[in-house]
Amino acid sequence: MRRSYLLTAVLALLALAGLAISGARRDLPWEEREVFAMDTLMRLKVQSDDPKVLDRMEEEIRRLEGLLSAHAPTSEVSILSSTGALKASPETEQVLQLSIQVAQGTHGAFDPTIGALSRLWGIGTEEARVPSREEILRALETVDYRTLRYLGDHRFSLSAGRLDLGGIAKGFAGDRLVELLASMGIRRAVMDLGGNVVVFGPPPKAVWRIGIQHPDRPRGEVLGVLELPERRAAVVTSGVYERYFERDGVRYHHILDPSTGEPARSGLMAVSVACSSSALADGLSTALFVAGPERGMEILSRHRCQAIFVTEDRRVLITPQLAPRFSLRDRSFRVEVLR
Amino acid sequence: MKVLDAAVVLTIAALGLSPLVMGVSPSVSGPLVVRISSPTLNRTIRLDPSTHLTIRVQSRDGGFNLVEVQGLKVRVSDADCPDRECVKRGWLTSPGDQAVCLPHRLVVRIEGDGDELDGLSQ
Repeated sequence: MRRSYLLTAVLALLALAGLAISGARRDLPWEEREVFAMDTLMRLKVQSDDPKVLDRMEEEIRRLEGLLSAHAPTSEVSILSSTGALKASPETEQVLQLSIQVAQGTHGAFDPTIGALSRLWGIGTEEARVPSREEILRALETVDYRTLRYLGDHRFSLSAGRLDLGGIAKGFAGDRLVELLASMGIRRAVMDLGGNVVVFGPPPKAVWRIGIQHPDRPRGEVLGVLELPERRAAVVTSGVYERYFERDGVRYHHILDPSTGEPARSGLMAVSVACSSSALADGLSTALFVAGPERGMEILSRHRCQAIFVTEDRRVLITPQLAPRFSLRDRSFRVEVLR
Repeated sequence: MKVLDAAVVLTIAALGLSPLVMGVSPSVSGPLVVRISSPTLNRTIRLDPSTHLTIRVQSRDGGFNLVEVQGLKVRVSDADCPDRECVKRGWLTSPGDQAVCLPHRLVVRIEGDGDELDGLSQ
Protein backbone atom coordinates (compact mmCIF):
# COMPACT_ATOMS: atom_id res chain seq x y z
CA MET A 1 0.00 0.00 0.00
CA ARG A 2 2.71 2.45 1.11
CA ARG A 3 4.90 1.42 -1.82
CA SER A 4 2.15 2.18 -4.32
CA TYR A 5 1.72 5.70 -2.86
CA LEU A 6 5.46 6.22 -3.11
CA LEU A 7 5.49 5.10 -6.74
CA THR A 8 2.53 7.37 -7.53
CA ALA A 9 4.26 10.35 -5.88
CA VAL A 10 7.53 9.73 -7.76
CA LEU A 11 5.74 9.43 -11.09
CA ALA A 12 3.70 12.57 -10.43
CA LEU A 13 6.89 14.49 -9.62
CA LEU A 14 8.52 13.22 -12.81
CA ALA A 15 5.49 14.35 -14.77
CA LEU A 16 5.61 17.82 -13.27
CA ALA A 17 9.36 18.09 -13.88
CA GLY A 18 8.90 17.03 -17.48
CA LEU A 19 6.15 19.53 -18.06
CA ALA A 20 8.20 22.29 -16.43
CA ILE A 21 11.23 21.51 -18.61
CA SER A 22 9.19 21.34 -21.79
CA GLY A 23 7.54 24.65 -20.92
CA ALA A 24 10.88 26.32 -20.23
CA ARG A 25 12.35 25.06 -23.47
CA ARG A 26 9.46 26.11 -25.65
CA ASP A 27 10.33 29.77 -26.15
CA LEU A 28 8.20 32.29 -27.91
CA PRO A 29 8.96 32.89 -31.58
CA TRP A 30 11.24 35.71 -32.72
CA GLU A 31 9.51 38.46 -34.68
CA GLU A 32 11.65 40.70 -36.84
CA ARG A 33 11.28 44.02 -38.67
CA GLU A 34 13.53 46.40 -40.58
CA VAL A 35 12.91 50.11 -40.24
CA PHE A 36 14.56 52.91 -42.18
CA ALA A 37 14.74 55.83 -39.75
CA MET A 38 17.22 58.35 -38.33
CA ASP A 39 19.24 58.17 -41.57
CA THR A 40 20.00 54.50 -41.09
CA LEU A 41 18.64 50.96 -41.23
CA MET A 42 17.34 49.53 -37.96
CA ARG A 43 16.65 45.86 -37.36
CA LEU A 44 14.31 44.99 -34.50
CA LYS A 45 13.96 41.44 -33.17
CA VAL A 46 11.68 40.58 -30.29
CA GLN A 47 10.65 37.35 -28.70
CA SER A 48 6.91 37.76 -28.51
CA ASP A 49 3.73 36.42 -30.04
CA ASP A 50 2.08 39.85 -29.92
CA PRO A 51 2.33 41.40 -33.41
CA LYS A 52 1.69 44.85 -31.95
CA VAL A 53 5.05 44.98 -30.19
CA LEU A 54 6.99 45.74 -33.36
CA ASP A 55 4.36 48.32 -34.36
CA ARG A 56 4.78 50.08 -31.02
CA MET A 57 8.57 50.01 -31.37
CA GLU A 58 8.45 51.47 -34.87
CA GLU A 59 6.01 54.17 -33.76
CA GLU A 60 8.34 55.12 -30.93
CA ILE A 61 11.33 55.37 -33.27
CA ARG A 62 9.38 57.57 -35.69
CA ARG A 63 8.14 59.76 -32.84
CA LEU A 64 11.69 60.26 -31.53
CA GLU A 65 12.97 60.97 -35.03
CA GLY A 66 10.30 63.66 -35.34
CA LEU A 67 11.53 65.28 -32.13
CA LEU A 68 15.28 64.94 -32.52
CA SER A 69 16.09 65.19 -36.24
CA ALA A 70 18.51 67.96 -37.19
CA HIS A 71 17.13 67.91 -40.78
CA ALA A 72 13.37 68.15 -40.18
CA PRO A 73 12.59 71.86 -39.73
CA THR A 74 9.66 71.10 -37.40
CA SER A 75 11.61 68.95 -34.94
CA GLU A 76 12.18 70.30 -31.44
CA VAL A 77 15.92 70.16 -32.04
CA SER A 78 15.58 72.29 -35.21
CA ILE A 79 13.33 74.76 -33.40
CA LEU A 80 15.92 75.18 -30.64
CA SER A 81 18.65 75.61 -33.28
CA SER A 82 16.75 78.21 -35.26
CA THR A 83 15.07 80.20 -32.46
CA GLY A 84 17.55 79.67 -29.60
CA ALA A 85 14.75 78.72 -27.20
CA LEU A 86 12.59 75.66 -26.55
CA LYS A 87 10.11 74.31 -24.05
CA ALA A 88 10.95 70.66 -24.56
CA SER A 89 8.91 67.48 -24.48
CA PRO A 90 10.00 65.01 -21.78
CA GLU A 91 12.03 62.94 -24.28
CA THR A 92 13.83 65.89 -25.85
CA GLU A 93 14.52 67.24 -22.37
CA GLN A 94 16.04 63.90 -21.36
CA VAL A 95 18.30 63.65 -24.39
CA LEU A 96 19.40 67.29 -24.15
CA GLN A 97 20.20 66.92 -20.45
CA LEU A 98 22.19 63.79 -21.20
CA SER A 99 24.01 65.54 -24.07
CA ILE A 100 25.05 68.34 -21.72
CA GLN A 101 26.26 65.80 -19.15
CA VAL A 102 28.27 63.80 -21.68
CA ALA A 103 29.76 67.00 -23.14
CA GLN A 104 30.80 68.14 -19.66
CA GLY A 105 32.09 64.68 -18.71
CA THR A 106 34.22 64.49 -21.86
CA HIS A 107 35.40 68.14 -21.80
CA GLY A 108 33.70 68.73 -25.14
CA ALA A 109 35.10 65.72 -27.01
CA PHE A 110 31.40 65.01 -27.54
CA ASP A 111 29.64 68.26 -28.39
CA PRO A 112 25.93 68.50 -29.34
CA THR A 113 26.42 72.01 -30.78
CA ILE A 114 28.53 70.70 -33.66
CA GLY A 115 25.68 71.19 -36.18
CA ALA A 116 27.24 74.02 -38.23
CA LEU A 117 30.43 72.01 -38.67
CA SER A 118 28.58 68.80 -39.69
CA ARG A 119 26.62 70.80 -42.27
CA LEU A 120 29.76 72.42 -43.62
CA TRP A 121 31.49 69.10 -44.31
CA GLY A 122 28.29 67.35 -45.39
CA ILE A 123 29.88 63.93 -44.90
CA GLY A 124 27.44 61.18 -45.81
CA THR A 125 25.50 63.50 -48.12
CA GLU A 126 25.79 64.43 -51.78
CA GLU A 127 27.21 67.80 -50.74
CA ALA A 128 30.30 66.34 -49.03
CA ARG A 129 33.36 68.53 -49.61
CA VAL A 130 36.57 69.74 -47.99
CA PRO A 131 35.85 73.24 -46.65
CA SER A 132 38.44 76.02 -46.54
CA ARG A 133 40.26 76.77 -43.30
CA GLU A 134 38.38 80.07 -43.02
CA GLU A 135 35.04 78.31 -43.32
CA ILE A 136 36.06 75.80 -40.66
CA LEU A 137 37.17 78.55 -38.26
CA ARG A 138 33.92 80.43 -38.81
CA ALA A 139 31.87 77.31 -38.07
CA LEU A 140 34.04 76.50 -35.04
CA GLU A 141 33.10 79.82 -33.45
CA THR A 142 29.58 78.44 -33.04
CA VAL A 143 30.63 75.09 -31.53
CA ASP A 144 30.56 75.21 -27.74
CA TYR A 145 28.36 72.95 -25.61
CA ARG A 146 28.28 75.61 -22.87
CA THR A 147 25.98 77.69 -25.09
CA LEU A 148 23.31 75.02 -24.60
CA ARG A 149 21.70 75.68 -21.22
CA TYR A 150 18.89 74.20 -19.20
CA LEU A 151 16.83 77.03 -17.69
CA GLY A 152 14.48 74.90 -15.57
CA ASP A 153 10.79 74.13 -16.17
CA HIS A 154 11.65 72.06 -19.31
CA ARG A 155 13.13 75.14 -21.02
CA PHE A 156 16.43 75.28 -22.90
CA SER A 157 18.35 78.08 -24.56
CA LEU A 158 21.02 77.93 -27.24
CA SER A 159 22.96 81.16 -27.63
CA ALA A 160 25.00 80.17 -30.69
CA GLY A 161 25.32 77.47 -33.29
CA ARG A 162 23.22 74.53 -34.37
CA LEU A 163 22.47 71.29 -32.60
CA ASP A 164 23.31 67.93 -34.09
CA LEU A 165 22.36 64.99 -31.88
CA GLY A 166 23.53 62.43 -34.45
CA GLY A 167 26.09 61.20 -31.90
CA ILE A 168 23.51 60.32 -29.26
CA ALA A 169 19.95 60.20 -30.70
CA LYS A 170 20.08 56.58 -31.93
CA GLY A 171 21.51 55.56 -28.57
CA PHE A 172 18.71 57.37 -26.79
CA ALA A 173 16.18 55.59 -28.99
CA GLY A 174 17.71 52.29 -27.83
CA ASP A 175 17.13 53.19 -24.18
CA ARG A 176 13.56 54.29 -24.87
CA LEU A 177 12.84 51.01 -26.70
CA VAL A 178 14.20 49.02 -23.76
CA GLU A 179 11.86 50.94 -21.41
CA LEU A 180 8.96 50.28 -23.76
CA LEU A 181 9.74 46.54 -23.95
CA ALA A 182 10.05 46.31 -20.18
CA SER A 183 6.68 48.04 -19.74
CA MET A 184 5.10 45.54 -22.15
CA GLY A 185 6.57 42.55 -20.31
CA ILE A 186 8.65 41.39 -23.29
CA ARG A 187 11.14 38.67 -22.41
CA ARG A 188 13.90 39.22 -24.94
CA ALA A 189 14.89 41.56 -27.73
CA VAL A 190 17.85 42.38 -29.93
CA MET A 191 17.96 45.76 -31.63
CA ASP A 192 20.45 46.89 -34.23
CA LEU A 193 19.95 50.63 -34.56
CA GLY A 194 22.28 51.45 -37.44
CA GLY A 195 25.15 49.48 -35.95
CA ASN A 196 24.32 50.31 -32.31
CA VAL A 197 23.49 46.94 -30.80
CA VAL A 198 21.14 46.80 -27.81
CA VAL A 199 20.22 43.52 -26.13
CA PHE A 200 17.45 43.09 -23.60
CA GLY A 201 16.52 40.08 -21.47
CA PRO A 202 18.35 36.92 -20.48
CA PRO A 203 20.83 35.75 -23.14
CA PRO A 204 19.46 32.69 -25.00
CA LYS A 205 22.77 30.82 -24.67
CA ALA A 206 24.26 32.07 -21.36
CA VAL A 207 25.87 35.08 -23.09
CA TRP A 208 24.98 37.54 -25.83
CA ARG A 209 27.50 37.27 -28.66
CA ILE A 210 28.17 40.67 -30.23
CA GLY A 211 30.58 40.97 -33.14
CA ILE A 212 32.79 44.04 -33.52
CA GLN A 213 33.10 45.23 -37.12
CA HIS A 214 36.54 44.78 -38.67
CA PRO A 215 37.79 48.34 -39.35
CA ASP A 216 39.37 47.72 -42.76
CA ARG A 217 37.37 44.81 -44.17
CA PRO A 218 33.93 44.81 -45.81
CA ARG A 219 30.85 45.36 -43.68
CA GLY A 220 29.88 42.23 -41.82
CA GLU A 221 33.43 40.97 -41.31
CA VAL A 222 34.26 40.65 -37.66
CA LEU A 223 37.40 41.78 -35.84
CA GLY A 224 36.42 39.97 -32.67
CA VAL A 225 33.48 38.86 -30.58
CA LEU A 226 32.29 40.15 -27.22
CA GLU A 227 30.39 37.78 -24.94
CA LEU A 228 28.13 39.62 -22.53
CA PRO A 229 26.11 37.87 -19.80
CA GLU A 230 24.14 41.01 -18.88
CA ARG A 231 20.36 41.23 -19.20
CA ARG A 232 20.63 44.71 -20.61
CA ALA A 233 23.59 45.92 -22.61
CA ALA A 234 24.48 48.20 -25.49
CA VAL A 235 27.56 48.04 -27.68
CA VAL A 236 28.18 51.08 -29.86
CA THR A 237 31.06 51.51 -32.28
CA SER A 238 32.38 54.68 -33.91
CA GLY A 239 34.70 53.99 -36.81
CA VAL A 240 36.40 55.72 -39.72
CA TYR A 241 34.69 53.32 -42.14
CA GLU A 242 31.11 54.32 -41.25
CA ARG A 243 30.64 57.48 -43.34
CA TYR A 244 33.38 59.11 -45.31
CA PHE A 245 34.44 60.49 -48.66
CA GLU A 246 37.79 60.60 -50.42
CA ARG A 247 39.48 63.54 -52.18
CA ASP A 248 42.96 63.46 -53.67
CA GLY A 249 43.73 60.17 -51.96
CA VAL A 250 42.74 61.41 -48.48
CA ARG A 251 39.87 59.84 -46.58
CA TYR A 252 37.67 62.27 -44.66
CA HIS A 253 35.52 60.41 -42.11
CA HIS A 254 32.45 61.72 -40.29
CA ILE A 255 33.69 61.89 -36.70
CA LEU A 256 34.57 65.56 -36.39
CA ASP A 257 36.83 66.88 -33.66
CA PRO A 258 35.05 69.85 -32.03
CA SER A 259 38.43 71.41 -31.16
CA THR A 260 39.95 71.38 -34.69
CA GLY A 261 36.83 71.34 -36.85
CA GLU A 262 38.26 68.47 -38.91
CA PRO A 263 37.84 64.69 -38.92
CA ALA A 264 39.39 63.47 -35.66
CA ARG A 265 42.93 62.14 -35.94
CA SER A 266 43.70 60.35 -32.71
CA GLY A 267 45.53 57.35 -34.12
CA LEU A 268 42.35 55.26 -34.01
CA MET A 269 40.35 53.35 -36.58
CA ALA A 270 37.43 52.59 -34.28
CA VAL A 271 36.19 52.65 -30.71
CA SER A 272 33.52 50.38 -29.25
CA VAL A 273 31.84 51.16 -25.95
CA ALA A 274 29.80 48.72 -23.87
CA CYS A 275 27.37 50.13 -21.29
CA SER A 276 23.98 49.35 -19.85
CA SER A 277 22.78 52.69 -21.29
CA SER A 278 22.73 52.81 -25.05
CA ALA A 279 22.65 56.65 -25.11
CA LEU A 280 25.74 56.88 -22.93
CA ALA A 281 27.54 54.26 -25.04
CA ASP A 282 26.65 56.26 -28.16
CA GLY A 283 27.87 59.61 -26.82
CA LEU A 284 31.01 58.10 -25.31
CA SER A 285 32.01 56.18 -28.43
CA THR A 286 32.20 59.48 -30.35
CA ALA A 287 34.01 61.21 -27.49
CA LEU A 288 36.55 58.41 -26.99
CA PHE A 289 37.30 58.34 -30.70
CA VAL A 290 38.02 62.08 -30.65
CA ALA A 291 39.96 61.92 -27.37
CA GLY A 292 42.12 58.87 -28.17
CA PRO A 293 43.06 56.08 -25.77
CA GLU A 294 44.94 58.07 -23.13
CA ARG A 295 42.40 60.84 -22.58
CA GLY A 296 39.72 58.25 -23.29
CA MET A 297 40.71 56.18 -20.25
CA GLU A 298 40.48 59.28 -18.08
CA ILE A 299 36.98 59.92 -19.44
CA LEU A 300 36.02 56.28 -18.86
CA SER A 301 37.13 56.46 -15.22
CA ARG A 302 34.13 58.74 -14.63
CA HIS A 303 31.60 56.40 -16.27
CA ARG A 304 30.51 52.82 -15.66
CA CYS A 305 31.33 51.72 -19.18
CA GLN A 306 33.96 49.60 -20.87
CA ALA A 307 35.71 50.18 -24.19
CA ILE A 308 37.77 48.72 -27.00
CA PHE A 309 40.09 51.05 -28.93
CA VAL A 310 41.34 49.84 -32.31
CA THR A 311 44.47 51.75 -33.33
CA GLU A 312 45.87 52.51 -36.79
CA ASP A 313 48.97 50.46 -35.88
CA ARG A 314 46.76 47.38 -35.45
CA ARG A 315 46.51 47.16 -31.68
CA VAL A 316 43.29 46.38 -29.84
CA LEU A 317 43.39 48.23 -26.52
CA ILE A 318 40.76 46.90 -24.16
CA THR A 319 39.62 47.81 -20.65
CA PRO A 320 40.32 45.15 -17.99
CA GLN A 321 36.73 44.09 -17.28
CA LEU A 322 36.01 43.53 -20.96
CA ALA A 323 39.26 41.70 -21.77
CA PRO A 324 38.17 38.19 -20.64
CA ARG A 325 34.95 38.55 -22.63
CA PHE A 326 36.60 39.44 -25.94
CA SER A 327 37.95 36.95 -28.46
CA LEU A 328 40.04 38.29 -31.34
CA ARG A 329 39.52 36.74 -34.77
CA ASP A 330 42.07 38.59 -36.86
CA ARG A 331 45.50 37.64 -35.57
CA SER A 332 47.22 40.44 -37.49
CA PHE A 333 46.02 42.63 -34.60
CA ARG A 334 47.50 42.49 -31.10
CA VAL A 335 45.40 42.73 -27.95
CA GLU A 336 46.66 44.86 -25.05
CA VAL A 337 44.80 45.25 -21.78
CA LEU A 338 44.60 48.85 -20.58
CA ARG A 339 45.38 49.61 -16.92
CA MET B 1 -8.55 1.67 -8.52
CA LYS B 2 -4.86 1.61 -7.65
CA VAL B 3 -4.05 0.21 -11.07
CA LEU B 4 -6.11 2.94 -12.70
CA ASP B 5 -4.33 5.63 -10.61
CA ALA B 6 -0.96 4.31 -11.64
CA ALA B 7 -2.01 4.19 -15.30
CA VAL B 8 -3.15 7.83 -15.21
CA VAL B 9 0.04 8.97 -13.52
CA LEU B 10 2.18 6.94 -15.93
CA THR B 11 0.41 8.52 -18.91
CA ILE B 12 0.95 12.02 -17.50
CA ALA B 13 4.59 11.19 -16.77
CA ALA B 14 5.09 9.90 -20.32
CA LEU B 15 3.55 13.04 -21.79
CA GLY B 16 5.52 15.27 -19.46
CA LEU B 17 8.84 13.56 -20.14
CA SER B 18 8.38 13.25 -23.88
CA PRO B 19 10.27 16.47 -24.61
CA LEU B 20 13.24 15.12 -22.67
CA VAL B 21 13.18 11.79 -24.47
CA MET B 22 12.61 13.23 -27.93
CA GLY B 23 14.79 16.31 -27.44
CA VAL B 24 13.14 19.64 -28.06
CA SER B 25 15.29 21.68 -30.36
CA PRO B 26 13.92 25.03 -31.49
CA SER B 27 16.69 25.58 -34.02
CA VAL B 28 15.84 24.16 -37.42
CA SER B 29 18.67 24.16 -39.88
CA GLY B 30 17.82 25.71 -43.23
CA PRO B 31 19.42 26.36 -46.58
CA LEU B 32 21.29 29.55 -47.48
CA VAL B 33 18.90 32.13 -48.89
CA VAL B 34 19.16 35.73 -49.99
CA ARG B 35 16.38 38.04 -48.93
CA ILE B 36 15.78 41.12 -51.05
CA SER B 37 13.45 43.69 -49.52
CA SER B 38 12.47 47.12 -50.71
CA PRO B 39 9.25 49.15 -50.80
CA THR B 40 8.50 47.61 -54.21
CA LEU B 41 9.82 44.06 -53.87
CA ASN B 42 10.07 41.35 -51.24
CA ARG B 43 11.70 38.20 -52.50
CA THR B 44 13.62 35.29 -51.00
CA ILE B 45 15.86 33.19 -53.25
CA ARG B 46 17.48 29.93 -52.28
CA LEU B 47 21.19 29.97 -53.10
CA ASP B 48 22.75 27.00 -54.84
CA PRO B 49 25.69 26.68 -57.25
CA SER B 50 23.41 26.62 -60.29
CA THR B 51 21.56 29.86 -59.50
CA HIS B 52 22.50 32.67 -61.86
CA LEU B 53 20.18 35.63 -62.19
CA THR B 54 20.00 39.38 -62.14
CA ILE B 55 17.05 41.25 -60.68
CA ARG B 56 16.32 44.89 -61.37
CA VAL B 57 14.69 46.51 -58.33
CA GLN B 58 12.86 49.74 -59.06
CA SER B 59 12.76 52.29 -56.26
CA ARG B 60 9.77 54.49 -55.50
CA ASP B 61 11.60 57.59 -56.79
CA GLY B 62 12.22 56.01 -60.20
CA GLY B 63 15.74 54.80 -59.44
CA PHE B 64 17.06 51.25 -59.59
CA ASN B 65 19.41 48.68 -58.09
CA LEU B 66 20.63 45.58 -59.93
CA VAL B 67 20.94 42.55 -57.69
CA GLU B 68 23.11 39.80 -59.14
CA VAL B 69 23.00 36.25 -57.80
CA GLN B 70 25.87 34.06 -58.90
CA GLY B 71 25.78 30.63 -57.32
CA LEU B 72 26.34 31.03 -53.60
CA LYS B 73 27.21 34.72 -53.72
CA VAL B 74 25.18 37.88 -54.24
CA ARG B 75 25.93 41.54 -54.86
CA VAL B 76 24.37 44.81 -55.92
CA SER B 77 26.16 45.13 -59.25
CA ASP B 78 24.81 48.54 -60.26
CA ALA B 79 22.59 51.32 -58.94
CA ASP B 80 21.81 54.96 -59.63
CA CYS B 81 21.71 56.05 -55.97
CA PRO B 82 23.97 59.00 -55.10
CA ASP B 83 26.52 57.27 -52.85
CA ARG B 84 26.47 53.77 -54.41
CA GLU B 85 27.39 52.32 -51.01
CA CYS B 86 25.36 49.22 -51.88
CA VAL B 87 27.54 48.59 -54.96
CA LYS B 88 30.76 49.29 -53.05
CA ARG B 89 29.80 46.61 -50.52
CA GLY B 90 30.78 43.97 -53.09
CA TRP B 91 29.97 40.26 -52.90
CA LEU B 92 27.94 38.88 -50.03
CA THR B 93 28.86 35.30 -49.22
CA SER B 94 28.03 34.45 -45.59
CA PRO B 95 24.94 34.47 -43.38
CA GLY B 96 24.49 37.95 -41.96
CA ASP B 97 26.24 39.70 -44.87
CA GLN B 98 24.12 42.53 -46.20
CA ALA B 99 24.15 45.39 -48.66
CA VAL B 100 21.96 48.37 -47.83
CA CYS B 101 20.87 51.19 -50.11
CA LEU B 102 19.54 53.93 -47.82
CA PRO B 103 18.29 56.25 -50.59
CA HIS B 104 16.27 53.45 -52.22
CA ARG B 105 15.37 51.68 -48.95
CA LEU B 106 16.75 48.38 -50.24
CA VAL B 107 18.22 45.58 -48.11
CA VAL B 108 19.93 42.52 -49.63
CA ARG B 109 20.83 40.05 -46.91
CA ILE B 110 22.06 36.46 -46.80
CA GLU B 111 20.35 34.34 -44.20
CA GLY B 112 20.84 30.77 -43.04
CA ASP B 113 22.88 28.73 -40.61
CA GLY B 114 26.37 29.89 -39.93
CA ASP B 115 28.34 31.83 -37.43
CA GLU B 116 25.32 33.23 -35.68
CA LEU B 117 26.06 36.34 -33.69
CA ASP B 118 23.32 38.11 -31.79
CA GLY B 119 24.44 41.41 -33.28
CA LEU B 120 27.22 43.25 -35.04
CA SER B 121 28.36 46.59 -33.65
CA GLN B 122 29.59 48.79 -36.47
